[in-house]
Amino acid sequence: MQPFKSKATIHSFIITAIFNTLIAIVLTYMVLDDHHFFDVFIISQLMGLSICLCVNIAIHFTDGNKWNVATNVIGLITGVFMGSLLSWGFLSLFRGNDFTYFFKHVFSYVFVFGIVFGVPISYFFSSREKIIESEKLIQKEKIKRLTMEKEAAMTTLRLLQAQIEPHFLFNTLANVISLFDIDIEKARQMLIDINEYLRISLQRTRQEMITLAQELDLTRQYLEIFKIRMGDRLIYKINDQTNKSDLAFPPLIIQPLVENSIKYGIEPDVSGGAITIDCRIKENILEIVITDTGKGLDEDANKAGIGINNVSQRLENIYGSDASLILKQNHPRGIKTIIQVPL
Amino acid sequence: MKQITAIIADDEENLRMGLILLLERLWPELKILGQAQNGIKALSLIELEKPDIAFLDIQMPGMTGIAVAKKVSNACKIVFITAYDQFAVQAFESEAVDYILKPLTPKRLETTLARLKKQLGGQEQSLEFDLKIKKIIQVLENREVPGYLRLIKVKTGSDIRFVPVSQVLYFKAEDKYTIVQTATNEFLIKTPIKDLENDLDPKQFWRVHRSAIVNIERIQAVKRSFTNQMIIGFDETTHHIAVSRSYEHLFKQM
Repeated sequence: MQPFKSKATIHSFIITAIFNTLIAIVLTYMVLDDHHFFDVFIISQLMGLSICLCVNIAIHFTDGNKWNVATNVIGLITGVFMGSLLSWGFLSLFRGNDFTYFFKHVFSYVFVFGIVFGVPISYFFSSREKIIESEKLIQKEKIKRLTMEKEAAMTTLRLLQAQIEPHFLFNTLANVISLFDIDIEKARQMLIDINEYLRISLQRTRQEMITLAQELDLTRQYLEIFKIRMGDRLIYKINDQTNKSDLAFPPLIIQPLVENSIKYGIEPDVSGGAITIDCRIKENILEIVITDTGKGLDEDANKAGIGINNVSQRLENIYGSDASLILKQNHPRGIKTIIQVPL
Repeated sequence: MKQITAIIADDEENLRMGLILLLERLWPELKILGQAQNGIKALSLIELEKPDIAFLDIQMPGMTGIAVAKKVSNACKIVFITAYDQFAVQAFESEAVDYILKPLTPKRLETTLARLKKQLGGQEQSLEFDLKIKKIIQVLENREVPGYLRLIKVKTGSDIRFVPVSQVLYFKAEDKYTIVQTATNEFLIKTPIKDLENDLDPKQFWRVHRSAIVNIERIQAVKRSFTNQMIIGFDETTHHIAVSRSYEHLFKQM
Protein backbone atom coordinates (compact mmCIF):
# COMPACT_ATOMS: atom_id res chain seq x y z
CA MET A 1 0.00 0.00 0.00
CA GLN A 2 1.25 3.43 -0.89
CA PRO A 3 1.50 5.78 2.07
CA PHE A 4 -0.12 9.17 1.62
CA LYS A 5 2.55 11.60 0.69
CA SER A 6 1.09 14.35 2.84
CA LYS A 7 2.84 17.22 1.10
CA ALA A 8 1.90 16.17 -2.40
CA THR A 9 -1.65 15.34 -1.30
CA ILE A 10 -2.17 18.73 0.34
CA HIS A 11 -0.76 20.35 -2.78
CA SER A 12 -3.27 18.56 -4.96
CA PHE A 13 -6.14 19.73 -2.71
CA ILE A 14 -5.05 23.34 -2.89
CA ILE A 15 -4.68 23.25 -6.67
CA THR A 16 -8.11 21.58 -6.92
CA ALA A 17 -9.67 24.32 -4.78
CA ILE A 18 -8.23 26.97 -7.11
CA PHE A 19 -9.63 25.12 -10.12
CA ASN A 20 -12.99 24.85 -8.36
CA THR A 21 -13.10 28.60 -7.79
CA LEU A 22 -12.29 29.28 -11.43
CA ILE A 23 -14.95 26.79 -12.53
CA ALA A 24 -17.48 28.45 -10.22
CA ILE A 25 -16.74 31.85 -11.75
CA VAL A 26 -16.95 30.55 -15.30
CA LEU A 27 -20.16 28.64 -14.60
CA THR A 28 -21.86 31.49 -12.75
CA TYR A 29 -21.12 34.30 -15.13
CA MET A 30 -20.56 32.72 -18.50
CA VAL A 31 -22.47 29.46 -18.74
CA LEU A 32 -25.43 29.41 -16.39
CA ASP A 33 -25.97 33.14 -16.10
CA ASP A 34 -27.23 32.34 -12.63
CA HIS A 35 -26.42 34.98 -10.07
CA HIS A 36 -26.11 32.74 -7.06
CA PHE A 37 -22.32 32.66 -7.17
CA PHE A 38 -22.01 31.48 -3.57
CA ASP A 39 -24.10 28.34 -4.16
CA VAL A 40 -22.25 27.48 -7.35
CA PHE A 41 -18.98 28.10 -5.58
CA ILE A 42 -19.89 25.75 -2.70
CA ILE A 43 -21.15 23.00 -4.99
CA SER A 44 -18.10 23.35 -7.20
CA GLN A 45 -15.81 23.00 -4.18
CA LEU A 46 -17.76 20.01 -2.82
CA MET A 47 -17.61 18.32 -6.18
CA GLY A 48 -13.94 19.09 -6.93
CA LEU A 49 -12.64 18.21 -3.50
CA SER A 50 -14.66 14.97 -3.44
CA ILE A 51 -13.14 13.94 -6.73
CA CYS A 52 -9.68 14.88 -5.48
CA LEU A 53 -10.20 12.89 -2.29
CA CYS A 54 -11.56 9.83 -4.07
CA VAL A 55 -8.77 9.77 -6.65
CA ASN A 56 -6.18 10.11 -3.89
CA ILE A 57 -7.78 7.26 -1.94
CA ALA A 58 -7.97 5.13 -5.08
CA ILE A 59 -4.27 5.71 -5.73
CA HIS A 60 -3.51 4.91 -2.11
CA PHE A 61 -5.25 1.55 -2.36
CA THR A 62 -3.66 0.55 -5.66
CA ASP A 63 -0.07 0.74 -4.42
CA GLY A 64 0.49 4.20 -5.80
CA ASN A 65 0.01 3.29 -9.41
CA LYS A 66 -0.69 6.89 -10.25
CA TRP A 67 -1.34 6.73 -13.93
CA ASN A 68 -3.38 3.60 -14.00
CA VAL A 69 -6.41 4.73 -16.05
CA ALA A 70 -8.83 2.46 -14.16
CA THR A 71 -7.73 3.85 -10.81
CA ASN A 72 -8.33 7.38 -11.99
CA VAL A 73 -11.70 6.56 -13.58
CA ILE A 74 -12.98 4.74 -10.48
CA GLY A 75 -11.79 7.57 -8.27
CA LEU A 76 -13.37 10.12 -10.56
CA ILE A 77 -16.79 8.42 -10.77
CA THR A 78 -16.92 7.75 -7.00
CA GLY A 79 -15.89 11.35 -6.48
CA VAL A 80 -18.62 12.66 -8.78
CA PHE A 81 -21.27 10.62 -6.93
CA MET A 82 -19.94 11.69 -3.58
CA GLY A 83 -19.84 15.32 -4.74
CA SER A 84 -23.41 15.08 -6.02
CA LEU A 85 -24.56 13.60 -2.73
CA LEU A 86 -22.82 16.34 -0.72
CA SER A 87 -24.27 19.00 -3.01
CA TRP A 88 -27.73 17.60 -2.40
CA GLY A 89 -27.01 17.60 1.32
CA PHE A 90 -25.97 21.22 1.13
CA LEU A 91 -29.00 22.26 -0.92
CA SER A 92 -31.49 20.34 1.19
CA LEU A 93 -30.08 21.63 4.45
CA PHE A 94 -29.56 25.27 3.60
CA ARG A 95 -31.79 25.86 0.60
CA GLY A 96 -34.69 23.52 1.45
CA ASN A 97 -34.55 21.63 -1.83
CA ASP A 98 -36.18 18.24 -1.61
CA PHE A 99 -34.70 15.22 -3.32
CA THR A 100 -37.09 15.10 -6.27
CA TYR A 101 -36.38 18.73 -7.10
CA PHE A 102 -32.67 18.19 -6.81
CA PHE A 103 -32.77 15.04 -8.88
CA LYS A 104 -34.87 16.67 -11.62
CA HIS A 105 -33.23 20.08 -11.92
CA VAL A 106 -29.85 20.10 -10.31
CA PHE A 107 -28.36 16.59 -10.38
CA SER A 108 -27.85 16.34 -14.12
CA TYR A 109 -25.96 19.66 -14.15
CA VAL A 110 -23.84 18.75 -11.19
CA PHE A 111 -23.09 15.32 -12.56
CA VAL A 112 -22.30 16.46 -16.08
CA PHE A 113 -20.13 19.37 -14.99
CA GLY A 114 -18.42 17.10 -12.52
CA ILE A 115 -17.46 14.76 -15.34
CA VAL A 116 -16.72 17.53 -17.85
CA PHE A 117 -14.31 19.34 -15.54
CA GLY A 118 -13.19 16.32 -13.55
CA VAL A 119 -11.75 14.42 -16.52
CA PRO A 120 -9.37 17.13 -17.80
CA ILE A 121 -8.31 18.09 -14.27
CA SER A 122 -7.59 14.49 -13.27
CA TYR A 123 -5.69 14.16 -16.52
CA PHE A 124 -3.76 17.31 -15.65
CA PHE A 125 -2.78 15.85 -12.28
CA SER A 126 -1.76 12.48 -13.55
CA SER A 127 0.34 13.90 -16.37
CA ARG A 128 1.92 16.34 -13.93
CA GLU A 129 2.88 13.41 -11.69
CA LYS A 130 4.18 11.59 -14.68
CA ILE A 131 6.44 14.49 -15.60
CA ILE A 132 7.73 14.80 -12.05
CA GLU A 133 8.38 11.06 -11.87
CA SER A 134 10.17 10.94 -15.19
CA GLU A 135 12.28 13.92 -14.21
CA LYS A 136 13.23 12.10 -11.04
CA LEU A 137 14.08 9.05 -13.11
CA ILE A 138 16.24 11.09 -15.47
CA GLN A 139 17.99 12.64 -12.48
CA LYS A 140 18.57 9.19 -11.01
CA GLU A 141 19.97 7.90 -14.30
CA LYS A 142 22.24 10.91 -14.52
CA ILE A 143 23.60 10.35 -11.02
CA LYS A 144 24.04 6.67 -11.77
CA ARG A 145 25.94 7.40 -14.97
CA LEU A 146 28.17 9.98 -13.33
CA THR A 147 28.92 7.61 -10.46
CA MET A 148 29.79 4.87 -12.91
CA GLU A 149 32.08 7.17 -14.90
CA LYS A 150 33.79 8.27 -11.73
CA GLU A 151 34.21 4.70 -10.62
CA ALA A 152 35.71 3.70 -13.96
CA ALA A 153 38.21 6.54 -13.72
CA MET A 154 39.05 5.58 -10.14
CA THR A 155 39.57 1.96 -11.14
CA THR A 156 41.97 2.97 -13.89
CA LEU A 157 43.88 5.12 -11.46
CA ARG A 158 43.97 2.38 -8.85
CA LEU A 159 45.18 -0.17 -11.36
CA LEU A 160 47.89 2.18 -12.50
CA GLN A 161 48.97 2.89 -8.94
CA ALA A 162 48.94 -0.80 -8.16
CA GLN A 163 51.43 -1.45 -10.93
CA ILE A 164 53.67 1.51 -10.44
CA GLU A 165 53.72 1.35 -6.70
CA PRO A 166 55.83 4.23 -5.33
CA HIS A 167 57.90 1.99 -3.08
CA PHE A 168 58.78 -0.20 -6.04
CA LEU A 169 59.52 2.75 -8.31
CA PHE A 170 61.77 4.65 -5.90
CA ASN A 171 63.66 1.58 -4.75
CA THR A 172 64.26 0.58 -8.35
CA LEU A 173 65.45 4.03 -9.33
CA ALA A 174 67.74 4.05 -6.28
CA ASN A 175 69.23 0.84 -7.65
CA VAL A 176 69.85 2.38 -11.05
CA ILE A 177 71.59 5.38 -9.52
CA SER A 178 73.81 3.13 -7.40
CA LEU A 179 74.54 0.89 -10.38
CA PHE A 180 75.92 3.85 -12.35
CA ASP A 181 78.85 3.81 -9.92
CA ILE A 182 79.14 0.05 -9.68
CA ASP A 183 78.22 -1.58 -12.98
CA ILE A 184 77.24 0.73 -15.80
CA GLU A 185 76.08 -2.14 -18.02
CA LYS A 186 73.69 -3.40 -15.36
CA ALA A 187 72.41 0.14 -14.83
CA ARG A 188 71.66 0.41 -18.54
CA GLN A 189 69.87 -2.95 -18.54
CA MET A 190 67.79 -1.97 -15.53
CA LEU A 191 66.73 1.30 -17.14
CA ILE A 192 65.66 -0.60 -20.23
CA ASP A 193 63.63 -2.99 -18.04
CA ILE A 194 61.94 -0.16 -16.18
CA ASN A 195 61.22 1.62 -19.43
CA GLU A 196 59.59 -1.50 -20.90
CA TYR A 197 57.68 -2.19 -17.74
CA LEU A 198 56.26 1.33 -17.55
CA ARG A 199 55.38 1.34 -21.23
CA ILE A 200 53.44 -1.91 -21.07
CA SER A 201 51.81 -0.90 -17.80
CA LEU A 202 50.53 2.37 -19.16
CA GLN A 203 49.23 0.76 -22.33
CA ARG A 204 47.49 -2.23 -20.86
CA THR A 205 45.72 -0.39 -18.08
CA ARG A 206 43.34 0.88 -20.73
CA GLN A 207 42.74 -2.53 -22.24
CA GLU A 208 40.17 -5.11 -21.24
CA MET A 209 42.06 -8.01 -22.77
CA ILE A 210 45.63 -8.61 -23.79
CA THR A 211 47.32 -11.90 -24.56
CA LEU A 212 48.77 -14.34 -22.07
CA ALA A 213 52.15 -13.87 -23.76
CA GLN A 214 51.98 -10.14 -23.11
CA GLU A 215 51.05 -10.61 -19.47
CA LEU A 216 53.93 -13.05 -19.08
CA ASP A 217 56.29 -10.57 -20.76
CA LEU A 218 55.33 -7.89 -18.32
CA THR A 219 55.70 -10.25 -15.39
CA ARG A 220 59.13 -11.32 -16.67
CA GLN A 221 60.14 -7.65 -16.93
CA TYR A 222 58.98 -7.10 -13.37
CA LEU A 223 60.83 -10.14 -12.08
CA GLU A 224 63.96 -9.14 -14.02
CA ILE A 225 63.99 -5.83 -12.17
CA PHE A 226 63.74 -7.67 -8.86
CA LYS A 227 66.43 -10.11 -9.95
CA ILE A 228 68.90 -7.23 -10.29
CA ARG A 229 67.76 -5.80 -6.98
CA MET A 230 67.69 -8.97 -4.91
CA GLY A 231 70.52 -10.90 -6.58
CA ASP A 232 70.77 -14.50 -5.42
CA ARG A 233 67.87 -14.12 -3.02
CA LEU A 234 65.42 -14.43 -5.89
CA ILE A 235 65.19 -17.25 -8.41
CA TYR A 236 62.39 -17.31 -10.92
CA LYS A 237 61.18 -19.43 -13.78
CA ILE A 238 58.34 -19.00 -16.27
CA ASN A 239 57.12 -22.15 -18.04
CA ASP A 240 54.60 -21.43 -20.76
CA GLN A 241 53.44 -24.82 -22.06
CA THR A 242 50.43 -23.50 -23.95
CA ASN A 243 52.42 -23.16 -27.18
CA LYS A 244 50.08 -20.39 -28.23
CA SER A 245 51.10 -16.79 -28.65
CA ASP A 246 47.64 -15.32 -29.06
CA LEU A 247 45.68 -16.60 -26.07
CA ALA A 248 43.40 -13.79 -24.87
CA PHE A 249 43.94 -13.03 -21.20
CA PRO A 250 43.02 -10.11 -18.95
CA PRO A 251 45.83 -7.83 -17.76
CA LEU A 252 46.70 -7.41 -14.10
CA ILE A 253 46.06 -10.96 -13.01
CA ILE A 254 49.47 -12.63 -12.91
CA GLN A 255 51.67 -9.64 -12.12
CA PRO A 256 49.80 -8.59 -8.92
CA LEU A 257 50.02 -12.17 -7.63
CA VAL A 258 53.74 -12.28 -8.34
CA GLU A 259 54.06 -8.92 -6.64
CA ASN A 260 52.35 -10.36 -3.56
CA SER A 261 54.69 -13.33 -3.59
CA ILE A 262 57.71 -11.05 -3.61
CA LYS A 263 56.34 -8.53 -1.15
CA TYR A 264 54.97 -10.88 1.49
CA GLY A 265 56.80 -14.11 0.72
CA ILE A 266 60.33 -13.61 -0.54
CA GLU A 267 61.47 -10.08 0.29
CA PRO A 268 60.76 -10.38 4.03
CA ASP A 269 62.48 -13.77 4.18
CA VAL A 270 66.15 -13.71 5.15
CA SER A 271 67.10 -16.47 2.75
CA GLY A 272 64.84 -15.37 -0.12
CA GLY A 273 63.16 -17.92 -2.35
CA ALA A 274 61.95 -19.00 -5.78
CA ILE A 275 58.93 -18.10 -7.90
CA THR A 276 57.67 -20.44 -10.59
CA ILE A 277 54.91 -19.65 -13.06
CA ASP A 278 53.43 -22.60 -14.98
CA CYS A 279 50.88 -22.12 -17.75
CA ARG A 280 49.14 -25.05 -19.42
CA ILE A 281 45.95 -25.98 -21.22
CA LYS A 282 43.82 -28.80 -19.80
CA GLU A 283 40.67 -29.63 -21.75
CA ASN A 284 39.58 -26.14 -22.75
CA ILE A 285 40.76 -24.69 -19.48
CA LEU A 286 43.78 -22.46 -19.16
CA GLU A 287 45.54 -23.12 -15.88
CA ILE A 288 48.15 -20.83 -14.42
CA VAL A 289 49.98 -21.87 -11.27
CA ILE A 290 52.15 -19.40 -9.40
CA THR A 291 54.30 -21.00 -6.74
CA ASP A 292 56.62 -19.29 -4.32
CA THR A 293 58.82 -20.71 -1.61
CA GLY A 294 58.68 -17.63 0.59
CA LYS A 295 57.55 -17.05 4.11
CA GLY A 296 53.95 -18.02 3.45
CA LEU A 297 51.02 -16.39 5.18
CA ASP A 298 50.78 -16.26 8.91
CA GLU A 299 47.73 -15.02 10.77
CA ASP A 300 48.71 -11.39 10.50
CA ALA A 301 49.62 -11.57 6.86
CA ASN A 302 46.01 -12.57 6.15
CA LYS A 303 45.28 -8.91 6.35
CA ALA A 304 48.00 -8.04 3.89
CA GLY A 305 47.13 -9.51 0.51
CA ILE A 306 45.37 -6.48 -0.90
CA GLY A 307 45.90 -7.53 -4.48
CA ILE A 308 44.28 -10.94 -4.16
CA ASN A 309 40.73 -9.74 -3.62
CA ASN A 310 41.13 -7.40 -6.57
CA VAL A 311 42.35 -10.20 -8.78
CA SER A 312 39.54 -12.48 -7.64
CA GLN A 313 36.94 -9.84 -8.35
CA ARG A 314 38.41 -9.01 -11.75
CA LEU A 315 38.36 -12.67 -12.76
CA GLU A 316 34.74 -12.92 -11.70
CA ASN A 317 33.74 -9.76 -13.54
CA ILE A 318 35.29 -11.09 -16.72
CA TYR A 319 34.49 -14.81 -16.58
CA GLY A 320 31.64 -15.07 -14.07
CA SER A 321 31.62 -18.34 -12.21
CA ASP A 322 33.63 -20.09 -14.94
CA ALA A 323 36.92 -18.88 -13.49
CA SER A 324 38.48 -19.93 -10.24
CA LEU A 325 41.26 -18.63 -8.06
CA ILE A 326 42.59 -20.89 -5.34
CA LEU A 327 45.34 -20.08 -2.86
CA LYS A 328 47.02 -22.93 -1.05
CA GLN A 329 49.88 -23.45 1.28
CA ASN A 330 52.81 -24.78 -0.71
CA HIS A 331 54.90 -27.67 0.59
CA PRO A 332 57.28 -27.38 2.32
CA ARG A 333 56.77 -23.62 2.44
CA GLY A 334 55.32 -20.66 0.57
CA ILE A 335 52.10 -20.14 -1.33
CA LYS A 336 50.65 -21.76 -4.43
CA THR A 337 48.07 -19.82 -6.41
CA ILE A 338 46.03 -21.66 -9.03
CA ILE A 339 44.04 -19.74 -11.62
CA GLN A 340 41.70 -21.50 -14.01
CA VAL A 341 39.86 -19.70 -16.79
CA PRO A 342 37.86 -21.06 -19.74
CA LEU A 343 39.51 -20.78 -23.13
CA MET B 1 90.95 12.66 17.07
CA LYS B 2 89.41 9.24 17.14
CA GLN B 3 88.33 7.87 13.78
CA ILE B 4 84.59 7.83 13.23
CA THR B 5 83.12 4.49 12.20
CA ALA B 6 79.88 3.29 10.63
CA ILE B 7 77.99 0.23 9.49
CA ILE B 8 75.47 -0.07 6.66
CA ALA B 9 72.40 -2.32 6.60
CA ASP B 10 70.21 -2.78 3.52
CA ASP B 11 68.87 -5.96 1.94
CA GLU B 12 69.78 -4.82 -1.55
CA GLU B 13 73.47 -5.10 -2.36
CA ASN B 14 73.44 -2.43 -5.05
CA LEU B 15 72.07 0.08 -2.59
CA ARG B 16 74.67 -0.78 0.04
CA MET B 17 77.42 -0.38 -2.55
CA GLY B 18 75.93 2.85 -3.79
CA LEU B 19 75.86 4.32 -0.28
CA ILE B 20 79.44 3.21 0.41
CA LEU B 21 80.70 4.84 -2.78
CA LEU B 22 78.82 8.02 -1.99
CA LEU B 23 80.17 8.10 1.57
CA GLU B 24 83.73 7.58 0.31
CA ARG B 25 83.31 10.67 -1.81
CA LEU B 26 81.57 12.88 0.73
CA TRP B 27 83.30 11.74 3.93
CA PRO B 28 86.56 9.97 3.07
CA GLU B 29 87.65 9.80 6.74
CA LEU B 30 84.61 7.74 7.72
CA LYS B 31 85.51 4.10 8.22
CA ILE B 32 82.93 1.49 7.21
CA LEU B 33 83.25 -1.41 9.63
CA GLY B 34 80.83 -3.72 7.91
CA GLN B 35 77.65 -4.36 5.96
CA ALA B 36 74.53 -6.32 6.79
CA GLN B 37 71.88 -7.65 4.39
CA ASN B 38 69.19 -8.17 7.00
CA GLY B 39 68.02 -6.84 10.33
CA ILE B 40 69.36 -9.68 12.42
CA LYS B 41 72.87 -9.33 10.98
CA ALA B 42 72.66 -5.56 11.43
CA LEU B 43 71.93 -6.00 15.12
CA SER B 44 74.83 -8.39 15.72
CA LEU B 45 77.14 -6.18 13.65
CA ILE B 46 76.32 -3.15 15.78
CA GLU B 47 76.79 -5.13 18.99
CA LEU B 48 80.07 -6.58 17.75
CA GLU B 49 81.69 -3.58 16.06
CA LYS B 50 80.22 -0.80 18.19
CA PRO B 51 80.20 1.79 15.38
CA ASP B 52 79.50 5.49 15.90
CA ILE B 53 76.88 5.54 13.16
CA ALA B 54 74.47 2.94 11.77
CA PHE B 55 72.73 3.48 8.43
CA LEU B 56 69.63 1.31 8.63
CA ASP B 57 67.19 0.51 5.86
CA ILE B 58 63.65 0.23 7.26
CA GLN B 59 62.22 -2.62 5.20
CA MET B 60 64.65 -5.45 5.87
CA PRO B 61 63.99 -9.16 6.17
CA GLY B 62 64.35 -10.70 9.60
CA MET B 63 63.98 -7.45 11.47
CA THR B 64 63.01 -3.94 10.41
CA GLY B 65 65.50 -1.10 10.77
CA ILE B 66 63.29 0.45 13.39
CA ALA B 67 63.25 -2.72 15.49
CA VAL B 68 67.05 -2.86 15.27
CA ALA B 69 67.28 0.75 16.41
CA LYS B 70 65.02 0.04 19.36
CA LYS B 71 67.26 -2.85 20.46
CA VAL B 72 70.52 -0.89 20.31
CA SER B 73 68.89 2.31 21.58
CA ASN B 74 71.66 4.78 22.47
CA ALA B 75 74.63 2.65 21.44
CA CYS B 76 75.20 4.67 18.26
CA LYS B 77 73.80 7.42 16.03
CA ILE B 78 71.19 6.09 13.71
CA VAL B 79 70.22 7.23 10.23
CA PHE B 80 67.21 5.55 8.66
CA ILE B 81 66.98 4.91 4.93
CA THR B 82 63.60 4.60 3.29
CA ALA B 83 62.33 4.50 -0.26
CA TYR B 84 58.81 5.77 -0.01
CA ASP B 85 56.96 5.85 3.20
CA GLN B 86 55.07 9.05 3.87
CA PHE B 87 54.05 7.66 7.21
CA ALA B 88 57.53 6.85 8.42
CA VAL B 89 58.91 10.12 7.07
CA GLN B 90 56.27 12.05 8.99
CA ALA B 91 57.15 10.14 12.15
CA PHE B 92 60.88 10.88 11.65
CA GLU B 93 60.19 14.54 11.02
CA SER B 94 58.06 14.95 14.10
CA GLU B 95 60.59 13.20 16.33
CA ALA B 96 63.59 14.89 14.68
CA VAL B 97 65.23 11.55 13.89
CA ASP B 98 67.72 11.44 11.04
CA TYR B 99 66.63 9.79 7.82
CA ILE B 100 67.54 9.79 4.16
CA LEU B 101 65.36 8.96 1.18
CA LYS B 102 66.07 6.54 -1.63
CA PRO B 103 67.21 7.32 -4.25
CA LEU B 104 70.00 9.03 -2.32
CA THR B 105 71.05 12.44 -3.48
CA PRO B 106 74.55 13.71 -2.56
CA LYS B 107 73.09 17.01 -1.44
CA ARG B 108 70.65 15.50 1.04
CA LEU B 109 73.30 13.09 2.32
CA GLU B 110 75.73 15.97 2.87
CA THR B 111 73.24 17.71 5.14
CA THR B 112 72.83 14.54 7.18
CA LEU B 113 76.59 13.98 7.38
CA ALA B 114 77.21 17.56 8.50
CA ARG B 115 74.69 17.12 11.28
CA LEU B 116 76.27 13.81 12.32
CA LYS B 117 79.76 15.36 12.44
CA LYS B 118 78.48 18.15 14.61
CA GLN B 119 76.72 15.80 17.00
CA LEU B 120 79.65 13.41 17.29
CA GLY B 121 82.25 16.21 17.63
CA GLY B 122 80.36 18.10 20.31
CA GLN B 123 79.55 14.97 22.28
CA GLU B 124 75.98 16.07 21.99
CA GLN B 125 74.12 13.11 23.36
CA SER B 126 70.50 12.66 22.58
CA LEU B 127 69.49 10.51 25.48
CA GLU B 128 65.88 10.57 24.55
CA PHE B 129 66.57 8.69 21.29
CA ASP B 130 65.17 5.55 22.86
CA LEU B 131 61.96 7.41 23.63
CA LYS B 132 61.77 8.83 20.11
CA ILE B 133 62.08 5.40 18.58
CA LYS B 134 59.36 4.07 20.85
CA LYS B 135 57.08 6.84 19.66
CA ILE B 136 57.89 6.13 16.02
CA ILE B 137 57.21 2.44 16.49
CA GLN B 138 53.88 3.31 18.02
CA VAL B 139 52.96 5.54 15.08
CA LEU B 140 54.01 2.91 12.56
CA GLU B 141 52.20 0.14 14.39
CA ASN B 142 49.03 2.17 14.70
CA ARG B 143 48.78 2.48 10.97
CA GLU B 144 48.35 -1.28 10.68
CA VAL B 145 45.05 -1.09 12.52
CA PRO B 146 42.68 -0.28 9.63
CA GLY B 147 43.75 -3.46 7.86
CA TYR B 148 40.79 -5.79 7.61
CA LEU B 149 40.89 -9.51 7.05
CA ARG B 150 41.42 -10.20 3.36
CA LEU B 151 42.08 -13.92 3.36
CA ILE B 152 40.42 -16.62 5.39
CA LYS B 153 42.68 -19.52 6.29
CA VAL B 154 40.82 -22.82 5.91
CA LYS B 155 41.76 -26.50 6.06
CA THR B 156 40.62 -28.84 3.31
CA GLY B 157 41.78 -32.35 3.98
CA SER B 158 45.55 -32.15 4.26
CA ASP B 159 45.65 -28.84 2.38
CA ILE B 160 45.60 -25.37 3.82
CA ARG B 161 43.84 -22.88 1.63
CA PHE B 162 43.40 -19.12 1.79
CA VAL B 163 40.01 -17.88 0.64
CA PRO B 164 39.84 -14.23 -0.47
CA VAL B 165 37.00 -12.58 1.45
CA SER B 166 35.52 -11.27 -1.79
CA GLN B 167 34.66 -14.89 -2.66
CA VAL B 168 32.76 -15.44 0.58
CA LEU B 169 28.96 -15.20 0.40
CA TYR B 170 28.41 -15.49 4.12
CA PHE B 171 29.73 -16.78 7.44
CA LYS B 172 27.38 -18.83 9.56
CA ALA B 173 27.84 -20.21 13.05
CA GLU B 174 27.20 -23.91 13.39
CA ASP B 175 27.93 -25.63 16.69
CA LYS B 176 31.56 -24.99 17.55
CA TYR B 177 32.46 -24.05 13.99
CA THR B 178 31.83 -21.28 11.54
CA ILE B 179 30.80 -22.14 7.99
CA VAL B 180 32.57 -20.13 5.29
CA GLN B 181 30.33 -20.32 2.24
CA THR B 182 31.60 -19.43 -1.24
CA ALA B 183 29.72 -19.84 -4.51
CA THR B 184 31.28 -23.26 -5.03
CA ASN B 185 32.57 -24.44 -1.66
CA GLU B 186 31.83 -24.71 1.99
CA PHE B 187 34.63 -24.57 4.53
CA LEU B 188 34.69 -24.88 8.30
CA ILE B 189 36.82 -22.64 10.49
CA LYS B 190 37.13 -22.39 14.24
CA THR B 191 37.07 -18.60 14.50
CA PRO B 192 33.77 -17.58 16.13
CA ILE B 193 31.42 -15.20 14.33
CA LYS B 194 31.98 -12.57 16.99
CA ASP B 195 35.74 -12.43 16.34
CA LEU B 196 35.24 -12.42 12.60
CA GLU B 197 32.89 -9.48 12.84
CA ASN B 198 35.66 -7.37 14.37
CA ASP B 199 38.20 -8.35 11.72
CA LEU B 200 36.04 -7.88 8.64
CA ASP B 201 35.44 -4.62 6.80
CA PRO B 202 32.07 -3.41 8.19
CA LYS B 203 31.35 -1.69 4.88
CA GLN B 204 31.33 -5.02 3.10
CA PHE B 205 30.30 -7.49 5.78
CA TRP B 206 27.10 -7.08 7.77
CA ARG B 207 25.93 -9.01 10.74
CA VAL B 208 22.32 -9.92 9.93
CA HIS B 209 21.70 -12.52 12.57
CA ARG B 210 23.20 -13.65 15.87
CA SER B 211 24.80 -16.46 13.90
CA ALA B 212 25.39 -14.95 10.46
CA ILE B 213 27.51 -12.34 8.68
CA VAL B 214 26.84 -11.69 4.98
CA ASN B 215 28.95 -10.19 2.21
CA ILE B 216 26.64 -7.44 0.97
CA GLU B 217 28.46 -7.28 -2.35
CA ARG B 218 27.24 -10.81 -3.10
CA ILE B 219 23.60 -10.27 -2.17
CA GLN B 220 21.29 -10.82 -5.09
CA ALA B 221 17.96 -10.04 -3.45
CA VAL B 222 16.34 -9.51 -0.09
CA LYS B 223 12.84 -10.98 0.03
CA ARG B 224 10.14 -11.71 2.53
CA SER B 225 8.95 -15.23 3.15
CA PHE B 226 5.24 -15.87 3.65
CA THR B 227 5.85 -15.79 7.40
CA ASN B 228 7.12 -12.24 6.78
CA GLN B 229 10.72 -13.08 7.60
CA MET B 230 13.42 -11.28 5.64
CA ILE B 231 15.51 -13.68 3.53
CA ILE B 232 18.75 -12.88 1.73
CA GLY B 233 19.52 -14.63 -1.55
CA PHE B 234 23.01 -14.69 -3.08
CA ASP B 235 24.38 -14.42 -6.62
CA GLU B 236 24.20 -17.52 -8.78
CA THR B 237 23.35 -19.83 -5.89
CA THR B 238 20.40 -21.21 -4.00
CA HIS B 239 21.97 -20.32 -0.66
CA HIS B 240 20.01 -18.08 1.59
CA ILE B 241 20.28 -16.52 5.02
CA ALA B 242 17.47 -15.34 7.28
CA VAL B 243 17.68 -11.84 8.73
CA SER B 244 16.67 -11.62 12.37
CA ARG B 245 14.14 -8.94 13.33
CA SER B 246 16.65 -6.81 15.18
CA TYR B 247 18.81 -6.47 12.05
CA GLU B 248 16.01 -5.84 9.56
CA HIS B 249 16.49 -2.11 9.77
CA LEU B 250 19.77 -2.53 7.84
CA PHE B 251 17.79 -3.35 4.72
CA LYS B 252 15.01 -0.82 5.03
CA GLN B 253 14.98 1.87 2.36
CA MET B 254 17.23 -0.13 0.07
